[in-house]
Amino acid sequence: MIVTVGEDRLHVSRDPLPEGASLAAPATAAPASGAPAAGPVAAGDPPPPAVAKASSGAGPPTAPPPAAAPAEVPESGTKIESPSVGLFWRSPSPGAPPFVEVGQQIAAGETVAIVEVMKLMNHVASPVDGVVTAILVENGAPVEFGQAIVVVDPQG
Amino acid sequence: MPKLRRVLIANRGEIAVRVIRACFDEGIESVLAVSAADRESLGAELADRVVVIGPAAAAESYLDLDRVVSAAKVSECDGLHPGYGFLSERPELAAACAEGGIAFVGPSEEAMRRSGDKATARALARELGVPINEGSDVVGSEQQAREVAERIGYPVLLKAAGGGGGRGMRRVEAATELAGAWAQASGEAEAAFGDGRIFVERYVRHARHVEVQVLGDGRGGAIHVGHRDCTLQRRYQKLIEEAPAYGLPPALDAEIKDASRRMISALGYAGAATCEFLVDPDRGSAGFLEINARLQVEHPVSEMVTGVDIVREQLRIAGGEGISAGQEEIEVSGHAIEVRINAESPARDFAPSPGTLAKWVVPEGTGVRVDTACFPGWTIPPHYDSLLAKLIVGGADRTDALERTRRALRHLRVEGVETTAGFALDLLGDADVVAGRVHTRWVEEEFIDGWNASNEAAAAASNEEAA
Repeated sequence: MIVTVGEDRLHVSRDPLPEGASLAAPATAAPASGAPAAGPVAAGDPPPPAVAKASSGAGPPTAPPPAAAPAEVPESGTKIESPSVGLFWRSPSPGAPPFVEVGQQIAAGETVAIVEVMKLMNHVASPVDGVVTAILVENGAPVEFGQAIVVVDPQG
Repeated sequence: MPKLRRVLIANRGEIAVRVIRACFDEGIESVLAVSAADRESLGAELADRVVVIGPAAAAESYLDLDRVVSAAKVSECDGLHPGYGFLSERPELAAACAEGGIAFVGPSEEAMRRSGDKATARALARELGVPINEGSDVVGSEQQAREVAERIGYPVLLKAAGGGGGRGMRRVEAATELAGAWAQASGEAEAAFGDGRIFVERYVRHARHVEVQVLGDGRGGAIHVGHRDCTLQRRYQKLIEEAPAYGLPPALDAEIKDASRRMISALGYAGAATCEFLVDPDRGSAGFLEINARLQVEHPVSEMVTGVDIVREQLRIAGGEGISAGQEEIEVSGHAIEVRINAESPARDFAPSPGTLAKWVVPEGTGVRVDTACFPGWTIPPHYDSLLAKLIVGGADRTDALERTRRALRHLRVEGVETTAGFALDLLGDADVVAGRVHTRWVEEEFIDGWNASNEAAAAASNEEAA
């Protein structure tokens, strides 16, 4: 399901998540070297947040690497997939802290990442309560529709 | 500008395969944007790279302009080929590409706006002295439409200015029918194209649909690549196309080719365009209808009789290399016929017939070309149109081409879905088709009832035999 609020789209999936047949380069990077930095937090408050603020003009600035470099996908847990082709962003704006880190407890509906499609910021929300066990894409990397981007363990 | 290096193909099915092939021939890397339903498609297998852009629904994949342009950007393409249908005639796509530094394989935003809008295209034609079918500019009210109809005489056609494919189009036989037809046509045009503008045109009863293939270099240079006849249609959907258009008076033949070149040249148009004309065989005259600002489904028949690779030319033009041939080098030789093979059931009013291809064997070889994305075992996704393949057959002349096309159709083996191949075979065997005594409404008015009757009779006979 995709909820549109202004220029933001919120993608919530309750489907059983099939293996995202990613055609990107094979896994090389370790999960998630988040670079938290000072700066206002524009979104990412506890639930129900997700559909709040992410202005279309202030997209994260860094150039994407040529190909996504997904980490290894854990066997268990709920794989959250990208709702679109686009660029994967871990934080609501440049310099802002990431939405989530590995090990963090999150609630269903909470934003885990943004997929930017032509300046349109699609907030990707977790469909379940749980603990983030992996962030599979590097900040700023291109992603495809259906590609697993974040794993949440509902048992955690 | 250097030639293109990597091109995103924003389409699917046979035309995606066709463009991938042209990229291969030009030494360009192909990146295919696919929906989740097309991950296993032939195009996905053949492309150098595949980007999944969205779910199966076209609105969230092939029709989503942002996703398509985003796919081109994240895969670092320097060109984008839109194919036909989907976003191919959206000036916004040309604009977004220009803004993103991506060469759009097609005309500029402005040239597309001017050529794609029927009203401005007609105005251009009039300015250049190109013959136009008698009619009006855009009319704003039923009353205005009535005045035009009285002036040119019934029957008339009401047509959507922003449309095509028969939507927003109504034939009006007499004044009493005008009010209803006006409401229907403008409502439908508004719903389908978000543009309720309508114009009125004289209805030509035995019209032939003839179109001229043109290539423009974007700097005012243009050549034509001959013409095609697309008269055999059903509900404004083309069934069979031929090149060249047969039996045109020599003066008319030269006039429409020249007129088409002049229009594309005046538009500063880049790439492949088609100028459509309605030919009135009773009067020996032609009237300009519209410009299609994209590659057309039936482009292969022109390729077969001229040897020009229209898609490669499109890529060359978009990369700034210009057109590879001059007008004097374009020679039409022989005759070519294209049959659209759709996954439809002609016996059930052409209802779509999706499914899995248990068998797919095509009689390809010299003079028989099959443009398709089909392969044995492929499951046709139900989300998109029903075109399975285009069978394109060349011959020394029209008679030879017709005979060879029928032979090829008889050797096509498809199991798992119903197709229109048998219907096309019957059509191409009809005496009126062989003699060229057809018009754009001929299939519906003269052919289909008889075909249905004999089809039912044959079915009944075989049931009896089985019993």
